[in-house]
Amino acid sequence: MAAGVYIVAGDVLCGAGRGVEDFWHAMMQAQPLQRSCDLGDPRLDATCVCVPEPRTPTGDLATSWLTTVCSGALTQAQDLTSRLREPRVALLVGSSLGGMSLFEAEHRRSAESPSTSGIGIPTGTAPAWQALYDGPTRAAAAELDTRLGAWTLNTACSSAANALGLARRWLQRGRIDVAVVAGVDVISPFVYAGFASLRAIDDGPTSPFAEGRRGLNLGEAAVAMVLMRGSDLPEVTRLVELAGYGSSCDAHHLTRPDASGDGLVRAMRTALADGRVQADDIALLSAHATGTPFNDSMEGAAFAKVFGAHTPAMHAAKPVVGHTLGAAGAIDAMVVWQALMRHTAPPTFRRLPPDPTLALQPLDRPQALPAESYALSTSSGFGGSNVALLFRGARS
Amino acid sequence: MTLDVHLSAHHALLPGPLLKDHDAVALRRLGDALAERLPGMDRYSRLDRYGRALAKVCAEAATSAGSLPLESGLSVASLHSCEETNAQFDLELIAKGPRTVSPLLFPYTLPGAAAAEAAMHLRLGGPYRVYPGGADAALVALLTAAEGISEGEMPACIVATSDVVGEHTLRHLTHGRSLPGPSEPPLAEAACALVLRQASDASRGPMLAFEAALGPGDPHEPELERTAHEALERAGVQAHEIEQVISVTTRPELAEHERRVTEKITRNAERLSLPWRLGNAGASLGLFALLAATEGQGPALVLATSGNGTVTLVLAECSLW
Repeated sequence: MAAGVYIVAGDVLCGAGRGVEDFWHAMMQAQPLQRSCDLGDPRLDATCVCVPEPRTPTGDLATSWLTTVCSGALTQAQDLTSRLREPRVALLVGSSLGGMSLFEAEHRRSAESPSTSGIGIPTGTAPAWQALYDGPTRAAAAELDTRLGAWTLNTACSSAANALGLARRWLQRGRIDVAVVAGVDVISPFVYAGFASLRAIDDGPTSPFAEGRRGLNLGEAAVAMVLMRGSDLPEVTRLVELAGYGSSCDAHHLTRPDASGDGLVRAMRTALADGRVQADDIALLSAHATGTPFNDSMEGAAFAKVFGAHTPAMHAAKPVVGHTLGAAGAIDAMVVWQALMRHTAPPTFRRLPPDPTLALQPLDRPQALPAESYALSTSSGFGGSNVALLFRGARS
Repeated sequence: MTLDVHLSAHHALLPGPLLKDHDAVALRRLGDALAERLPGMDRYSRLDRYGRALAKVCAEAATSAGSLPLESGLSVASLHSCEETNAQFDLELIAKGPRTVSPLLFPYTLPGAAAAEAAMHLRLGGPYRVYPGGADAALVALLTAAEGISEGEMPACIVATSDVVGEHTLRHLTHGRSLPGPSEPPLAEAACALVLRQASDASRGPMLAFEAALGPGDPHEPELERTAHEALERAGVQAHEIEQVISVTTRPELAEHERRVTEKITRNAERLSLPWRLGNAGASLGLFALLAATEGQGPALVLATSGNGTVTLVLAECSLW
């Protein structure tokens, strides 16, 4: 049987603040943290985004934030990683934008655009590689002791979830001893305008799985978690296991998910089978839940097929911290990790009434979780990517 | 224990002859293959050259491989990916403003958009992963595809790469003072796709057995040596059995480290530096290296080092030898 893989530390920087305690407090409060933000283009009116505060760039934000949370998570895990002799550490990052802010800054300077300054758009000339999709990963790795390299996954909004799945596989295969798994994305005029052009943005706080839902709120985050094999850990620290992973592609449409939900169903069933559990065993479901009409309908259809009459406690993080794009899967994993540690499913902010066509709805108040609960987290992205992660909480 | 898969089919678009553009930048472009119309690919009109090259190699490889089950996956790597589309969208945004920019191009400003179009065209519903990066990322894409197949995650997988050098990329490299110097391989464009199937699918293509080890970015020689030894151990191959050493590293100082380490470990092996044969062709060099290894006489060591990480792959067995 493959070795169990456990989450042993984590750090986060997002609209809810810095650190796991601030993050969890924000989730339990379940109040939207969206605000207006100057993204650096005077023609852009970003009134409902969820960004860390303060947001003052020194260099490239994505690199800076990624390095900060990875260092934070590794510091927290130091007592455990130092038990290993010369641990083989790899950094795996999920990001859909990578060094896009740097690309944008340089491109606009060369295009002599008026919007060449402002918060989040770096000045100066960075090395060409830092503006690539794996740029922040490489820059962060230079600051960390990653003996086994640093690799990036980009499957749009399921990027960090896929990075977690890959980390689990490599730990089980003994390719690495310690995985620092991170997600990072930073909003820029390019990204905001792109989503706005698709009419995907709600100008008020997003309301997933609600009747009359109008879209998403963009958010920024950097999240890092440290994962290790259970055989390298004292039993008392084996609290939350990443127990299963499933990945699929809708092969349907570039931006619109397959309404049948069959792609997500495949990913969910693969994760459940990987962890040798049944759908009825799931106590907590962390949904992707962007608040767009199509995504939530697709997820609702998938959940109905997988769970049938079973109703796990459901949570959606995006009303609080926004849709953090490539980092979203890591945000959701952070919620699940804390929920299983604390035996509590957090509530979800609700602005609009529930969609009556979607049977499974987010909780509107906290709910106790039994010890040794199972949780499932789902992520979906442009291009039809679907990822499901299965987590197991240890007996307290 | 090695990862055992069948190489069911492959298709490559190789760099053309060395030419210099109007700014005297030496470049090996893809030939006219991209101008050919692919059946059923009218949907690809919004793909840039990177996307069309990726879609073409995937489609051609899939056709050669025969029908692929719905659960088949796609594993992609690219260094520059959709930079030209990003630049085009940004120019539209600058010109038209955020309220009136067209939504048609935005979805293609993702490295995975071209892969997604290929998945739709070929009906690939299995695991789908995109690894931004160069040849090292391509070897990670190959490794994870083989891992997935060997674990029963998917019955088959297309592993694909594509890199083109457009106007924006050239300007970006020039501005960042990152154009290759006279002692480095020239820039090149290429694309490649391999179709891997389960080892039990006995009728489909030569059998490959390989394993790999990971190492740090910008490695020193001791780290390279450690990674090479780990890869050999994982593949169950002794150093003296290596017949061929293939490097896909483009930076001269890293290539020199590799040469010293591999001469120390594998003394009599034949050496091949693909970037000096084909140019700096981005991620595709990783897959070209595996194909070159299959054309050898025995076990091969493939090295890819970059600022991100090191991947050392050992091809232990190939039924073509």
